[in-house]
Amino acid sequence: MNKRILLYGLALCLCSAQHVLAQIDFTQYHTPASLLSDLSNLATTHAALSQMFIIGTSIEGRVIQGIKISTNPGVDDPAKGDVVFVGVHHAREWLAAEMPLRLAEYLLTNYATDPGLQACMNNLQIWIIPVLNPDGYAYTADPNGYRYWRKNRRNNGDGTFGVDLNRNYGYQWGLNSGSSPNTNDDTYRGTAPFSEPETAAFRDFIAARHNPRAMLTYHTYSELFLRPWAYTTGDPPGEQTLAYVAQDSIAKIAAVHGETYGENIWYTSSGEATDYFWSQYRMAAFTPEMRPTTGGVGGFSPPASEIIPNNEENLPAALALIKDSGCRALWIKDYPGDSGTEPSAVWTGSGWSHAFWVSPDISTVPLTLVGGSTVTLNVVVHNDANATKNGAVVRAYYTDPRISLEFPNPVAVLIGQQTVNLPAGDTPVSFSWTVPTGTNIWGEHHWCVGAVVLHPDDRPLTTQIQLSSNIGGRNFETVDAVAGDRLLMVAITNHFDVPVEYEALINREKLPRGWEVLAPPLPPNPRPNRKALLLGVKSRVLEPGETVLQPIHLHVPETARPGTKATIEVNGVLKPLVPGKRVAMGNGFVFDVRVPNCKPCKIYPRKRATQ
Amino acid sequence: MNNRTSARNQLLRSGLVFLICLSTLLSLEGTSSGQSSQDYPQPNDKGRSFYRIDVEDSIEAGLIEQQLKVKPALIRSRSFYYYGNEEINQLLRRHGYEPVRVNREDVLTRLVMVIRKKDTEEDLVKAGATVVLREREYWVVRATLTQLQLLERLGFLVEELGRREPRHRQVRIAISRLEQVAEVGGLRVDIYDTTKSEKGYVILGGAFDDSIDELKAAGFEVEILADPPGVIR
Repeated sequence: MNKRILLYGLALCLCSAQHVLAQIDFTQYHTPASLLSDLSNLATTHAALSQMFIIGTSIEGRVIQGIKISTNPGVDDPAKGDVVFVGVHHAREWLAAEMPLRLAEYLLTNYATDPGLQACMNNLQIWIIPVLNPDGYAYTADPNGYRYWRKNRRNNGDGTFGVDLNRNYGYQWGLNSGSSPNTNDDTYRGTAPFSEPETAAFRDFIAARHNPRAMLTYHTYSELFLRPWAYTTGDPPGEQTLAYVAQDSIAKIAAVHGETYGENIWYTSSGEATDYFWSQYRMAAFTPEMRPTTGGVGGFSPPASEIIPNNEENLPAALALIKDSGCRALWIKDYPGDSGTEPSAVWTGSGWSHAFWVSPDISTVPLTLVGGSTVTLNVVVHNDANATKNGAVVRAYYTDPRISLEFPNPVAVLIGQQTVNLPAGDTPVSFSWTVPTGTNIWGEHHWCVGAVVLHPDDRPLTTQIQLSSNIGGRNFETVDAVAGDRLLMVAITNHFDVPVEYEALINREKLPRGWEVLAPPLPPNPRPNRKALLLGVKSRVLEPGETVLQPIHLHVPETARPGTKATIEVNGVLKPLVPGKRVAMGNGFVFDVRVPNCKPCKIYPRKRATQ
Repeated sequence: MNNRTSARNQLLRSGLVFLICLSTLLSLEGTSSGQSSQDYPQPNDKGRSFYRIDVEDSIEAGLIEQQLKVKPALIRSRSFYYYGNEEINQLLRRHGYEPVRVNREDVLTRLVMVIRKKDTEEDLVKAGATVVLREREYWVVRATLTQLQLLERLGFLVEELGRREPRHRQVRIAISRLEQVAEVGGLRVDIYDTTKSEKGYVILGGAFDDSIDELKAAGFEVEILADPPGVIR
């Protein structure tokens, strides 16, 4: 009897060991049920590292679920970056479900033995949703359904079914050039942005993330690696950054089986996912259109023998995005105490948590700049990896400093670009910079320098200084900036392509007793903005591309002692007038003010390290 | 009760449930054909009228929905349609909008089958309908509810599609320049892939007949390919 129990126990152990070690079978396409079962088994087998999660339910009531991979999966950790992989917006694109599942399996089975992967994953929460469109996916697998169905399964109430989920997002929704208003069409965009529970759930899921960094939304087919914008052939802000990541990903994919993905799909798609997330969060979002290259409608059902090679070649691109999001090695300080954490600053409601426009890693020799002179611009790049990073590219730009700066930005001028080998530790990279002879938009010799470091193993994923450790910024003045007695000026430009609410807040903490600084409200908008009215916004709204000057009045008491110094910090914030989570972007200025040794005294404000 | 009796009762109960489900399905099937336009399913909007306001873009539409809790029934171009009442309209007026009452039967459309008899497609088009698919025994047309009523008055035999979902045709479109891919996409073609050919490029995609008509009118060479498995016309 005892022997029987022992044997039974041994058999159980063997079974469970087999369960732990079993690999997911990718030699055949999963069914909707087997996909969920394998995903759920992964979560059960790797319970310390993963957990199933639900983002919502589909129009037919199916649960939209995924697997969260993190060292503390039960806790939503605001200190960690969030990276998202999502598949099957389009029902018939079955490879787009297989790839996220394979990624989940790879991460969970390799974590324990791959210190490099651990280092990156430990800083992240990885969210993998293999199927965003479970109804459509089920319909394509149903013998009574249709294998080549693309949309979700909404009953449109007019004799037709389905909305194209990847035309239903809220940015640039409704353009006829990239979607259809006709319910029967495969690119039907829905009655309104986010009319579908699947897209609304995904929008809300991302909005609830503390630190969204990057996203891949898997599709098939054509072998392309697409980036924003999808709605237009024009470039988005940050095109250089997005192009760098896309081209690097394409190289990583090609290195596996020689499949060379393209970059251009040649048609536009409005209401598309990556456009929305780049626009709303500056979250690096890309669309891999995977195998095959061609095949007509049959291209959506390649033989099952394509699953493994497709997974194999797309895995390095996914892992690179994880590495970039969670494992920085190369970085530039945003402020003196910066340790490379992302984000380096957040809007607290009363100012930025750190002045991120005062990088000590960016400096000039000589320190004082004269218009037209050529100086040496030094950028210190930190390499925290133990190995040399060969072939790193460091780019330096200058621009007229305004609130709403990002690098590269549409008006930034490239000072220079250098390809360098960066050993572990700190390396200065020098550029020759001829200081502009003209003035900036408010007549001052005052310029902001931004530096960006890029490497195939360490890529910036956004253009916002405070959101990327690969970017740093600092301002320089060429002469004493005498703006006139008790009057300082700050420029604000809206580089977004939607209207923004502008607000300036003064940090008065460092002001001597009796001093006062006022930022009078800017004149109201020439015509009321209905979006502002809807949001209850009372402050000045800037239309896309608009620049305004903000006067800052400085009141110094008569009794101010000569030699007294003060620091005035102006925090500027721009909040887009959009529905959902309104992410604050912006910048700041720091003015050094000194009371000269004279009677009567004039106040000479000097800008320093500002932007 | 022994186990065998219990199993038999369970089987009987299951069979009964199956028969009830089957009869329900059959009765639903019966009601889905041969409806008149007065019986077409309508949104759940009893007691509320249909209105339109003008908006700048979809972002503004999203803000209206989020801030004022006015759900759009349809957004088309710069028009935001909704089911409302005076209270909702007052709220919108306070935010600078000018609600206009509209006849939803002139705005909302349906896709239906029109059985081919002696009528011509020209008659359909004259009545304002758009022919989405031309099948051997019927047309699939898109029309507003007002237009459907007119078609019926003109003697057309109009039927609901029921479970017969319209499937687009597989098409091969020849283009000379890659820039024309966007133009083809703009004509509502579901583009699968674009490949180089001897004369330029070839697009493979899916399209309905109204889209194919527009492609041809725009000068594109369109070849219709065989349906994939699972398409019943």
